[in-house]
Amino acid sequence: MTAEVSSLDRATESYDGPVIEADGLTKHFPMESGLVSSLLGGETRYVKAVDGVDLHIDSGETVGLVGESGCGKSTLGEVLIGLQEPTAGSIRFFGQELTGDVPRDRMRKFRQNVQMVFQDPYESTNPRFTIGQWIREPLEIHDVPNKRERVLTALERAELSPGEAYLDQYPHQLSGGQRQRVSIARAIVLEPKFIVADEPVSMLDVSVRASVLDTLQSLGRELDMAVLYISHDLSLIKQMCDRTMVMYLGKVVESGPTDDLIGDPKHPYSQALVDAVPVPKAGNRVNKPPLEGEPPDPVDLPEGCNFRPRCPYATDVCYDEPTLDAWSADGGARHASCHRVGDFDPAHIRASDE
Amino acid sequence: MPLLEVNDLHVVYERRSEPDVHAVRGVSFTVDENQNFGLVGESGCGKTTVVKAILQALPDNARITRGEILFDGEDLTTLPRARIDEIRWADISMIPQTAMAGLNPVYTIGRQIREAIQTHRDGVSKAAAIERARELLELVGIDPDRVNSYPHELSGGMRQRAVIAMSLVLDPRLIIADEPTTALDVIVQEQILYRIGQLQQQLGSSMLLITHDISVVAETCDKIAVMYGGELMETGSVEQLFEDSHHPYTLGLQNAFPSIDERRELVSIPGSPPNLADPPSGCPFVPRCPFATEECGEPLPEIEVEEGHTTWCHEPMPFAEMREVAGKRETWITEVTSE
Repeated sequence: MTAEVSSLDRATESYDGPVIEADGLTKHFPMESGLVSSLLGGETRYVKAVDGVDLHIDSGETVGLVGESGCGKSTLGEVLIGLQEPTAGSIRFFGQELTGDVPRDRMRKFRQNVQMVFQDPYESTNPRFTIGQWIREPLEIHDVPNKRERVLTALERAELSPGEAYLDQYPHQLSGGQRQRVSIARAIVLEPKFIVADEPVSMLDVSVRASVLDTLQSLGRELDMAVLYISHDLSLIKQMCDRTMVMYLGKVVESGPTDDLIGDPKHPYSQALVDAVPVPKAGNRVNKPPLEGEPPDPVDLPEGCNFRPRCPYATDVCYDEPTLDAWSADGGARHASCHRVGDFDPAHIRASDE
Repeated sequence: MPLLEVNDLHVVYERRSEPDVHAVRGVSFTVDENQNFGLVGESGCGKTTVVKAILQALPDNARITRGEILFDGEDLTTLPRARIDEIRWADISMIPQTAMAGLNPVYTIGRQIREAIQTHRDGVSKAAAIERARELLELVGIDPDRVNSYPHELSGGMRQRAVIAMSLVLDPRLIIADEPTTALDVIVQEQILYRIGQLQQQLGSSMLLITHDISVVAETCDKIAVMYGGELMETGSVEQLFEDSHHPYTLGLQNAFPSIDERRELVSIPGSPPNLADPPSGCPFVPRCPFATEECGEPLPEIEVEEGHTTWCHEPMPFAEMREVAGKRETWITEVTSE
């Protein structure tokens, strides 16, 4: 066991693969079935929140994960940082397996090196802790030396400057933007290698969002972290992320460099998503949405392609479930799980509007 | 005559042991027939208080201390309660932010729509009211058979659509929508905004849209008013405000707002909004404004830029120059204490 203690450190030194990698990652939640149906031996049904996701994020890279509420993006984030146990699939951190029978020390090292920034700055701080105590707590849990110095560095990095001025303050004395910076400071105080930021600015006022995002983005580069940025807002993803993955009903349906994906989405669902984003400029009027209705429950998934029942281009071939590499381009940089990319022209659906 | 005319509105929240909050201070604007009017601002700017004042739904500790709110010539601030109740629903209807706030969980959607019709329209039979309910559901894109569903049986997007159906039940002349799509995903948002637009055209009604989202306003409204610290900063058409803004706060909001169209540097506005328990006598934006001079501490002048375009600003720097430098980050960092 003792050999394991430093294995991550050794691994990180010589390792040049992705910081985090997942294959076939799956998280199914059993549904509460009623007493009667369980007495009658009814089958347990599952919510397929995450259903076979492959991904990898390099150090210094920010990857966006976009999708509508209920698509499984937050669950995926939680599974990746170990807040939820996956149902199936593999997660590797610096090449080392994290699922199955994992040595305790490897797990401890992993926990020290991953952090999450949550959505709600009002709930993700503890009202009875001073800012100093709150940021210091992870250092105590992991018994790291030079605590005061590290807390101050984290505060400055999160652009709460001078750090000393914040140490003895309580969360209620700070604005929403400052609280979210406190959450960021706490997340980076251990200098993690991997951060999941789940809608970190959606509760903040527009005028302060930009600077908080800016801080996150530059920290990712400065500390060479792999960042998974989860959001429903493609406009923010456009500003923040090197690569983007689009998620629908538990599956990644398209991935690629952000500018390419947003500029020329290939999957019909990504097209609808990009199309629906309002633009803050004169001269754009809201148009007829290409999609009607909402995603179905991730319980009774349709046969074949998940998107088939809502897809304007679906044909018989779509009863065959596509994988993410059903379409690929740019030497494998872009992928879409659609059999029909290239067979349809998204412009014509618009033209037939009125 | 405009459909709605708000003149010099002042609203104060009285507090027992603390100073009163001057939430709305001298707000004036008009909404014409067949017009979509967007009232834009961040949390705490007073936009929701303005709406509550129009609907005469302010909490008990709030008082309208000055001004009038004319709807079709009648001053809502002085009308008897009974008349207000008539106007609400029949002439002015409200789409709330959270659909559940507009729906009763223990009745079916159909029953709620039917009762709204029968309460406000004499002599409508039950069968006719149900037929109308089915029609309205279909209009907002819900299967008419859903009249028999309870609110909890519908998804979030469907509930919001049901609330819209209810708000349209009496063909209102003014629809007030307070962040109607903020809680929804973009695709559902687009569906709903599109539906509202279509229905409005059919009914010929006007809309007052309250939101923090300048992209939603850009895509749905004809005219915009930007509010900050309880006061209006700038009003004008979408083109005037997005392409020819004459106010540092409007410019700041635009710079801070991301666009899917282009990757560009987002610039935050440093600082936080003023404390309205002790409102400034001059421009409320002064502590955060990179252009502010001593003169800005004086009460705000009203400048008509051109027809339909008004700004409340001392113009510490020529507006053309201000537009030029407002897009640069350095402009907003210098000499302002960080947020």
